[in-house]
Amino acid sequence: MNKIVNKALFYKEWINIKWITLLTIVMLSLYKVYGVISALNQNKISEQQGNILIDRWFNNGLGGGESYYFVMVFVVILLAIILFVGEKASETQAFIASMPFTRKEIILNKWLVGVLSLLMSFVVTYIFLSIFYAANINDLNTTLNPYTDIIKWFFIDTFQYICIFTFIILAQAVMGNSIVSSIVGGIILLVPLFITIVVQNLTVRYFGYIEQIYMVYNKIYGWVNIYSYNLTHKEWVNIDSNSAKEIYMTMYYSNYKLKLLMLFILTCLFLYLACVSYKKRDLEYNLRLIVFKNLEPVFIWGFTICSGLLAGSIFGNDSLRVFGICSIIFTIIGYFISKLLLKVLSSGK
Amino acid sequence: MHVNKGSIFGIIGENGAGKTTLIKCLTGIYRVNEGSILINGEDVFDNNKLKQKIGYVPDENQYFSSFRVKELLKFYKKTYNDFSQERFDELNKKFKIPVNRRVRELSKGMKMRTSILLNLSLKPDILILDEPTSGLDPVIKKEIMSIIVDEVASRDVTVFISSHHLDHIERICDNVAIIKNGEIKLMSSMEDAKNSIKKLQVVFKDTIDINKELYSLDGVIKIETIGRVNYIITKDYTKKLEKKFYDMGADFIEVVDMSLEDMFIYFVEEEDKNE
Repeated sequence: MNKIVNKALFYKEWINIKWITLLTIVMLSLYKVYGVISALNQNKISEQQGNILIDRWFNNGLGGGESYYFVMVFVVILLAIILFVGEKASETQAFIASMPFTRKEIILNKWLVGVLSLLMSFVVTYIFLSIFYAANINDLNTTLNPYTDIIKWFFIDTFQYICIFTFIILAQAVMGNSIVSSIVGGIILLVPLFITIVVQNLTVRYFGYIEQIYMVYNKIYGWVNIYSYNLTHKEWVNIDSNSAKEIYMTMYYSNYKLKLLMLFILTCLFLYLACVSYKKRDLEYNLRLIVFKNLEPVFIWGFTICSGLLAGSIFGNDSLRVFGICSIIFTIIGYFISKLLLKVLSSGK
Repeated sequence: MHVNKGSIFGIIGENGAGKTTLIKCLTGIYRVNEGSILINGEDVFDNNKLKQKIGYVPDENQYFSSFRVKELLKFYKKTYNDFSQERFDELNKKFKIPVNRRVRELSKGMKMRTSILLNLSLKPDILILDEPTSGLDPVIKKEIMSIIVDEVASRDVTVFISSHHLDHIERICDNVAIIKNGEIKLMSSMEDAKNSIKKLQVVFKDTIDINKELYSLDGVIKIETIGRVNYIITKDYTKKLEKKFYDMGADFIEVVDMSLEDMFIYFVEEEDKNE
């Protein structure tokens, strides 16, 4: 571990991101800790008014918060930007490269500090939640609101955002502009889902609605969209059909262990690729949009194809013919836009 | 190209000639496509052991603008095993860098002084300086040059310096190289350069045009004629050359030493002409 952690690099990166760590803790506290506090308050108000109490208030409070997922992705993107922005846009990266650090150490320590920042934020929130859980144990039905809910949330969310962060680090390693690469990294993760949706729509239009195929696609969605791994599924359960009081909503994670494993494997893969890319990166091409010349066609064609498919999906809802025409037109336009982006977003310094 | 241990090597060239690129290759920032850069027989790229002993002062601010100088100091201490706080404190009495200030609050000259101060404090065996005196006032410029010379004398430090201030290079360097369009066009010891590159003021008996004949002589870079006096710049001055001029009908010859700046200007002009 000592060989990987470089105390100087660690110190430098930590100074840069300590405020982001604080921001992450605030966000997590706002959504999760305040989420369960609100659920408890709501219950108390309901109690005073003689309304139905929510037995699973802790479970519901912890799993709720729709905007939480977007905010956390935004925080992770911001974290990656802060780790790279000062260096890529100036001579600072050359300064670091002139010092006794290997390329592998530089990228690994950035990743480690980012992971530590996320981990710290989740651990702090986990502690707050545990304290709150323990403090309100008398008001809790521990069978319906098991402590394992917090543990499950902690592991899946930590793994989830570390995985997304690692992918953005990979994007940073192959791309120049730190802001663009973080945003593009965040968008690329949606591409598999987008392609699956387009293919599903085309299949339905061409072959008609076949339930089995439709179900298969729905399953695929859950796996190709990394962003959905930590989404809680809501299920309404009525254990006593004669009493409305027994209706409750429960929040749970599907394929929990498998998703954890998947996130772990993806994190390792992305980190390995990021290290390899960063080691091969030539600093003189630091300000290009795509640092590696041989990856430019991947960007151009990826952008081109996605533009065509996106336009086809938006404008060609009615018929396959319109879909085809729109796709072709916007594929051509997308090709030129991608070329333009490569030119505009690559500094000529 | 070879730089001897304990010597000061100066590199000069026009803007965009490739000085900074060469320095970035020497410091292991850029990976070289061809050839190799060896220090004590080891490749410098991605070599932590070697880089522990290299101090690098770039031509523009390289530090994290949000850092305070004391944070940079801490970063250097954690990075370099031989970093000396005492040396830093001792030098800072002359440099007067406010350690509590953030890098972005420092003037250009102060940033350069900070960089030099930190790099001298890490007790380097090799000190690479890219335009170290740009943005500095004359007093501190002189002070820095004298510190560099002291480092070489006391610790046998090898210094590689690039500068547009040719008077400094001339004063402190043992060896000098001229770079143009990414190629080293001339490399020589300062003494050899001074002995071989000369300006000769020659008056010939006959006023006939002998420029063609003069240019055909080996080492003649430039000829200017004002009245009867021919100003001949040569890069291969020898007594033999003087004799050749007498054989060609020279009546009077005066050999004039050239400054490095003059040498550089004539050299670049000559190279431009050849291109």
